[in-house]
Amino acid sequence: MEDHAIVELYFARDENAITETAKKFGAYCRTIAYNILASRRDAEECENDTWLAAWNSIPPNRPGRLAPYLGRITRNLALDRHDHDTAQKRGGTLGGVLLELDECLPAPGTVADHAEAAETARQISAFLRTLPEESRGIFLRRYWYCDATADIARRYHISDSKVRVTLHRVRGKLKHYLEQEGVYL
Amino acid sequence: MNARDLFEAIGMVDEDLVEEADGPVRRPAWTPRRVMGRVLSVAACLCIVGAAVLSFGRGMFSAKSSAGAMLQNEAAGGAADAAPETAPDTAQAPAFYDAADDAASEKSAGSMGIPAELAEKMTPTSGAGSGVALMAYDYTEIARVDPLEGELPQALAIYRGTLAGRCLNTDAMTDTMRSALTALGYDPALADDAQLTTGYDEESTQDPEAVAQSLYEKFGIGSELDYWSGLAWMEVDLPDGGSLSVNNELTLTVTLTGDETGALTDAQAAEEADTILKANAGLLDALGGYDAMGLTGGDYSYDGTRQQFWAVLYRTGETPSEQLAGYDLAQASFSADGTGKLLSLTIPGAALAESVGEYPLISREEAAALLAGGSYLNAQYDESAPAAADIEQAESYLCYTGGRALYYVPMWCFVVDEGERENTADGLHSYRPYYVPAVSLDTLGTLLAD
Repeated sequence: MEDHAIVELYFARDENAITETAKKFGAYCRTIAYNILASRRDAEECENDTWLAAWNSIPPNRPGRLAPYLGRITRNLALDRHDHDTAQKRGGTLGGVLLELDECLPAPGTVADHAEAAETARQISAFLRTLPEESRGIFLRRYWYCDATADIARRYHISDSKVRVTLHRVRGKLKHYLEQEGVYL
Repeated sequence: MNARDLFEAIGMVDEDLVEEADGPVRRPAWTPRRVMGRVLSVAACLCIVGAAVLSFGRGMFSAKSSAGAMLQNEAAGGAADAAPETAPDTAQAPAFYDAADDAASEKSAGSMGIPAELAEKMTPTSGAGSGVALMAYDYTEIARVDPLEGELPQALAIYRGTLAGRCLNTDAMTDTMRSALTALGYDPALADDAQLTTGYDEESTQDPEAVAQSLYEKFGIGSELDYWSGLAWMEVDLPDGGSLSVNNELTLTVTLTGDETGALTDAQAAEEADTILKANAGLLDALGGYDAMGLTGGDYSYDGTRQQFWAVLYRTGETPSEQLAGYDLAQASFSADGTGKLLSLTIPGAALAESVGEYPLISREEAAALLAGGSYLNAQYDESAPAAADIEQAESYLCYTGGRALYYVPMWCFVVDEGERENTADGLHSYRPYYVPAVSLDTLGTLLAD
C-alpha cells in the first residue's frame, strides 16, 4: 500500500493503519531498533511502541514519506530504552557510534553548553548535501541507522576498510564544517 | 554538546537524506566485467619501486615503514609530487600490516587449489569476484548482458591493474586529472592547483609510528590493495562549479553542476539511455569512449521485497578483449539530471588497466573440471567447491572480475543455484558465483612470476 493511502487510514482512525504500517515497515523499524539495542525482544517492543506513537501523532502530522518518519520515532524510542537499561550489558553499535562521533567535537572547554539540536540538524543536513552520494549514504547508514561497518560494506559492495576510511574523512569534514558555521561557539 | 547530542541532532536531519540512504545503491554487487578496448591515453604509473619491493604472499608480508617517512616529508613542507629524486613514489605499506590477518578475514582472498602466489595477484579485493551470493527468484533476474554476444574467443587479454606497482601514483594521478580537465574543456594546468591529500590521517602527524598505528587501529585495513587505493587522492574545484578527484588507484570522479532534485533514477536513466549518451557524447568520448549503457543488478533483499538495479555506462569494442574489458573493467557509475546531462561520473581505475598480451583460453569443460576438483578463486573463503552436478547445471560465462586486483585475468564464472536459504523469503534462491581462471595455470605461473 502506498504511503499516502496508509496515512489516510490514520486520518480516518481506521485501525488497519497499524496493520498496513507493520506489514510495510516492520522489518525496517526493527532493524533500526536492533542496531541500537542488540536485543530482538527489545527491538520488537520498540517496534510496537512506534506504531502507538504513530497512531498518536498522525493526525495532526501528515508525513509525506513514512519510512523516515517512522524510522525517526523508532530511533528515538530505542535511544530512550538504551539509556534506561544501563545496567544491562549491551552489544549493538551505539557505543562505537558515539565514540566515533566524539571525533567531530572540538576540544573540551570550547563548546557552548547547549547547541540547539534543530539548528545543528539543519547545519548537518546542509553539510551532508555537499558530499558525494555514496559518502553521504555511508555516513547516514552508520550514524542514523547505526549499521555495523561490515553491513555498510556489504550494502555498498565495498571493503570494510573503505567504509571506515570514508567515515573518518567525513567526520573530519563535519567537524570543520560545524566549526566554520559557528555551531561550536 | 557531547557525542550523544550530536547523535540526536543527526537523527533530525532532513528526511529525504535519510530516505536516500535507505534506497538502492549505485554499485554492482558482482558483475562479471568486460574489458574495454580503448583506454584513456594517459601515462601509466611512473612509480619506481626500489629494492624494497615486497615479496608478497600470504603471510610473507614485510615492509619498511616508509609511508610514515613520506608523510613526514609532507608535513615538513615537501610536496608529494616533488618527492626526492632518488625515490619518487616509493611509499610502502607500513610494517604493522600483517597479510596473515587477510587469511582470517572474511574479506580476504581465498583460493582452492590455485597456488597462493598466483591467487593473490588476480583475486579481487573489492567489487566483482567476491563470491557473494545474490538473491533472486530466478536466474534470469540477475543474468548479465553478454558482451561477447554468444561468441567464444580463442584468446583473451590479461591486464595489469593500476595498483600493480604498489606505490604512490602521484604522477599518474596528475596525468589522469589533466586528461579529464581537457576532456571537460578546462585548462589542464588546473591540475597544478589540485589539493593532494596523502595518508589516512588528514591531520598528518610528524610521527610515522603514530600514523602507522592509527591506520591499523582506526581502519583495520583489510588488504594491501585497499591500503594503496586509498592512500592518496587529488581533488580540484572546477571553475564553473563541480569538482574533479582522482585517487591512487586512478579512479576518477567528476561532479558537475546541475539540478540534482530532478536527477533520474537508475531505471529512468536506462529508459533514457539514448538521450543521455547523445547529450554527453563529446564528454563521454573524450573520457575514454563510453558509448553504451546497461541496466545491471536485479538481486533482492533477503525479505524479497526490494530489488536493486543500477544503470552503468560502458564501452563496446571491436575485439573480444575490448568487448569483455569494456564492460567488466570499465563500468562507470553516473547520475544524470532530468534532461539527461551528466551530474556525476565515476570511472574506476580498472578502466586504465593495461594489456600484457592475449593468451589462449581453456574450455568451459576444463574449467568445470577444475572447479569440481576444488581449483577455483573466490575472494571470500569457501570450504569446498560445489558438487559436480551443480556445476554441470550452472550458468557460465567468460568475464573479468573487475574491482581491485593486481592483474585482471579472464575468468570462467559458474553461477551455482544454491537453492533457498533460511531466513529469506519463500522462493528466493541464492546464486553464488565461482571463478576459475580461463587461462592455463602454467601460463599464469610464467606470466605473473615476479
